[in-house]
Amino acid sequence: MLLLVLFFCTILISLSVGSTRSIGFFEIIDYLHGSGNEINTLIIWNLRFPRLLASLLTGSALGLSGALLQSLLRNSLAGPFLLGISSGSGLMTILAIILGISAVYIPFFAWMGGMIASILVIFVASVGSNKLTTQKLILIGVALSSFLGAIQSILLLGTEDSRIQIALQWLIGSLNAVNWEVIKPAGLMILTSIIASKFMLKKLDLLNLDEPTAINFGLNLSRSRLLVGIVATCLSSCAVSIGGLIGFVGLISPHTARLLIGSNQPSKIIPASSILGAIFLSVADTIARSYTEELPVGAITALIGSPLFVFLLIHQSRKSVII
Amino acid sequence: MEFIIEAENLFFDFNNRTIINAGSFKISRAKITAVIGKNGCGKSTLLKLLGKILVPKAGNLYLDNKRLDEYSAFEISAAISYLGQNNKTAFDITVGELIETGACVISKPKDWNLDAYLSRYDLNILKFTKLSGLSGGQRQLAFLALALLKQPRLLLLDEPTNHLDIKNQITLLESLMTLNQSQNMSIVIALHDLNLAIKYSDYVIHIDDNGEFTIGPTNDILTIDNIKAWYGVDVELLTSSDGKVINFPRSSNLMDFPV
Repeated sequence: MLLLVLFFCTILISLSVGSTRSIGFFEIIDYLHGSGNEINTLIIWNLRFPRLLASLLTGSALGLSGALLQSLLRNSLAGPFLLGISSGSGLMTILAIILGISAVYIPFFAWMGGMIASILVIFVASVGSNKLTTQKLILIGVALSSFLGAIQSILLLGTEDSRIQIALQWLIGSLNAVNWEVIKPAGLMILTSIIASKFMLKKLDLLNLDEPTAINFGLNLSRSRLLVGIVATCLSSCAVSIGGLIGFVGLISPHTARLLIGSNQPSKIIPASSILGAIFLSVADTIARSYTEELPVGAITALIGSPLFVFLLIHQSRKSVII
Repeated sequence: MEFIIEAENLFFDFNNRTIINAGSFKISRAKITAVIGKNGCGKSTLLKLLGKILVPKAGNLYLDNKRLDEYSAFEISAAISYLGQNNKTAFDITVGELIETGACVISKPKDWNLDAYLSRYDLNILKFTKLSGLSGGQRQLAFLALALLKQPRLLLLDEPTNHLDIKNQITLLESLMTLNQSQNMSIVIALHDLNLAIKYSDYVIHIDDNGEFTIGPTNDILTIDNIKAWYGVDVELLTSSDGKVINFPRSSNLMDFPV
């Protein structure tokens, strides 16, 4: 699997590059053997490793969540933030910043906001009739997003300048402030969700068929949709709690996976999308850290991501590069 | 048991419009039953009710003398295959992937093999072809192969001959007859073409505007009087070398179209 090789190369490069000093590949291997020098150990373990882990976890969560939601909503425009996650966690974060709540709790607030908003969307979509349709999910997600977004803007306008800076970093998406306290709980949840999603792959293949056929193969539509929706929500909320609203990773990863693998079968795309998300975000973050002044990674993903995405789409006709 | 399906006071409505008000009826085992009726009369609804894709608003359905809602989703899935009209996938997959999707969720013999299965339906050359690149006939065949994966006792087909040319229509119906005769599969098939119904079905269910059924052996149901009453069209029944043919003489059916 080319993807896995690429994955490990990314890890090595990411550990090696940084603003303090470059560490050679052999020094990293020394470190992995437990025989590296102290400065390198300090840089790798305390600075770069958490950062790398954060970018890998966040990236894979976004890539996976995007792929899951595209399958769930049967729409290739869907991204991890479609069900109101961004606006929900955005609002909660701004609220926490305005209220002067310690920065330590902001990830938790972001996670809560995202979960509440999208569970609200899923809940409202299932009220009224007993059927959870994809169209209702999308439309209610859009409605709630603009509603919460409006409140968020109003709040932001009344905030003092020094606090707006913090909020802005978060809204663009950045891994600058990552530490072990944030990574541990969110990372655990991301890993659990990744494992959970592995057991949904067959169901997601069935969801790709038309509804009656899926039902005829024994699928409980509403229950499967609910399950996939909750796992996807949990993934994006965790990603948001680590890195803020990092855009584009969740949209570009499933598409890149489709192009690289030359297949649209959800069970093949979803795992690949998760690995690609991890690669993409850690590369982007390595670039963000290597610049003289640290850039928010959200800006890099959009700057590199959008032209790359367009390039891939144009070359779609030469598809089927089987990996 | 002579009947695979028995219905008791079957009723279904949607937006306050009665679609099925069938009373009680039975569907014969190991026979081909055609469902006919005007556009929008409830043929699709009936098939979906039989396949437990929709649940009746009132009344009961029995499959092999057991109430349909007493079966688990898995048991229904194993016993009944449904081939609908809108065989669309959200993302475009290949024929091989389509069959794999179904094969992954059903219990199948140990020596089951995708390539062998595909070649049984002459689909092996299309294994890597995306569904969007198939002709109407190939597409219908691919989805029929998906439905037949389960080796069902009851096969439900919703207007499978739509959009097919005459050769593909005949191929499809002949293969259904073979399935019916060699495996004793019970088949319920919604059809618009009365001549196909008269040629290929043993029994006919007609659904009228009120959702009421007329059911019986094909030759008793598809009579000149019934067709006139149901469709408002004058026909004559001709006898061909292998059975009856319905002819629609133009002279007696001149209609005033509001042009």
